[in-house]
Amino acid sequence: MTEDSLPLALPLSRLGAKNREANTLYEELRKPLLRYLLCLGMSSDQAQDVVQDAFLSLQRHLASGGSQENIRSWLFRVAHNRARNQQTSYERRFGAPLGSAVDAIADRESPERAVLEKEKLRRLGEAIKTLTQTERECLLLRAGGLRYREIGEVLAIPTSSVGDTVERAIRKLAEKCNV
Amino acid sequence: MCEWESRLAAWLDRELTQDEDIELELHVSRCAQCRSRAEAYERTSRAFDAYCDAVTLAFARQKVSSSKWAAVAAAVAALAVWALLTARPRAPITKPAPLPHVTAPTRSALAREVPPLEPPRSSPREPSFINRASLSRVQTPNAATPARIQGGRFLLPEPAVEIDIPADALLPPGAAPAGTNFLVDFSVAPDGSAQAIRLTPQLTGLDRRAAQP
Repeated sequence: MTEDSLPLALPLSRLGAKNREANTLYEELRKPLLRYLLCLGMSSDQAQDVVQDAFLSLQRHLASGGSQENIRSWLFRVAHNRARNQQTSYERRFGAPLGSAVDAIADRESPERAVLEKEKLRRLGEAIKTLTQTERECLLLRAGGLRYREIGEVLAIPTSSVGDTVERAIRKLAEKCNV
Repeated sequence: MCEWESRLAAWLDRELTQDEDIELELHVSRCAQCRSRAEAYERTSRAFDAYCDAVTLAFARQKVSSSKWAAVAAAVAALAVWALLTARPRAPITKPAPLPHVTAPTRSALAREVPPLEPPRSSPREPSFINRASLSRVQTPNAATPARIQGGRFLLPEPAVEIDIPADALLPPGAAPAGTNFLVDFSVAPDGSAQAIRLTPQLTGLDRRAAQP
C-alpha cells in the first residue's frame, strides 16, 4: 500500500490565520465532494448544504484540537455520513435516465461515435444498478481521487476489503458493459 | 483464471507496494489475458468517470432550471405585493376639501415619495364632508380613489396631513407589539377642523430588525 495521498494535514494556526490555505483546501475538495454527493443521489441544494456543513465541521474539528491527519478522508467521511442520514435512496440517481446530460457528452463526438457513447453510458447505468451499495460507494470515492486507505476510512471498512470490493465492482462493470 | 487477476485493479490504481508493482507489471507484459483485462478495467474506469460527470452535469442543469423558475416566482410575488399595496383604499372622502395651509410633509409621507403639495386652487370648493356610508368596503361612486402613479411616482389623491404616533402614547404599555406606531392621516377643512381622520397601525420595528447585521 503506497502512502502518496495528498498531504492535506494543515497546521491549525495556519488554517486559522491565513485564509489562503483554507481556500485552497476548499477549492480543491469542493467539486469532488459535490460530485460524490450528487452521484449518491442528493439534490444539488442538499449536496451544497452538506459540503458547507462538512467544511464548517472541519473548522470546528480543528479548532477543538482534533487530528489534522488525513483531512481529505475526514471531509469525505463527514459528508458521507451526513448524506446517509439525509438521503432516502440513491437508486433513483443511478437508475434514472440521464437524458440531456448523456447527449451533451456524446455530442462532443462524431454522430456515429455519439451513438456508441450513448449506448455505452446506458449500458453502464444499467450495470451500476446491479452493484451493491458498498461497491458503488467504493467506486465513487475512487473516482473522487481517494486512495484505498482513505476509502476505508470513509466507509469504515479495512483497506484490504476496499481493494477486493473495487476489484469485484470493476470486474462486474467490465463484464456487463464490455466497454 | 490467472492468479494475478484479482490484483489488477489495485495495480492500475498504484495501490501495491513497489515490489508487487514491478512483479505484476512484468507479468502483465507477458500475459495476454491479464493485459486484456487490465485494458478493459481501465476503459471501464474512464467510462465510470464519464458517467459520474454526466450525473453531475444533469443535476447542475436542473439546478439552473429551478433557479430560473424561482426568479420568475419571486418576480410574480413582488408584483402581487405591489398590486396589493397600491390598491389599498384611501380615506373615503367623497368630496375632497381644499388645502387651507401648506403643511410640511411628515417623515412617513416623504417615504412614500409625495411630491410637493400643489397651491390652493383659485376656485372655491365645496366644504368636504364624510359620507359615513362610504366607510364600508362597498364604496360609493364618488369614493376617493387610491394612490395613483404619475411619472413613476406615487401621488396621494388628496392633500392630507400624516402624523406618526408611537403606540405607547395611545395604548397602555404592552398592549401593542414593540415597534408598533400609528399613522394618523386626516384632511383639514376650511374652518380648520380635522376631517376624515384615519388611524393605521404600522409595524416599524420590522424594518429595524432587518437592518441589524
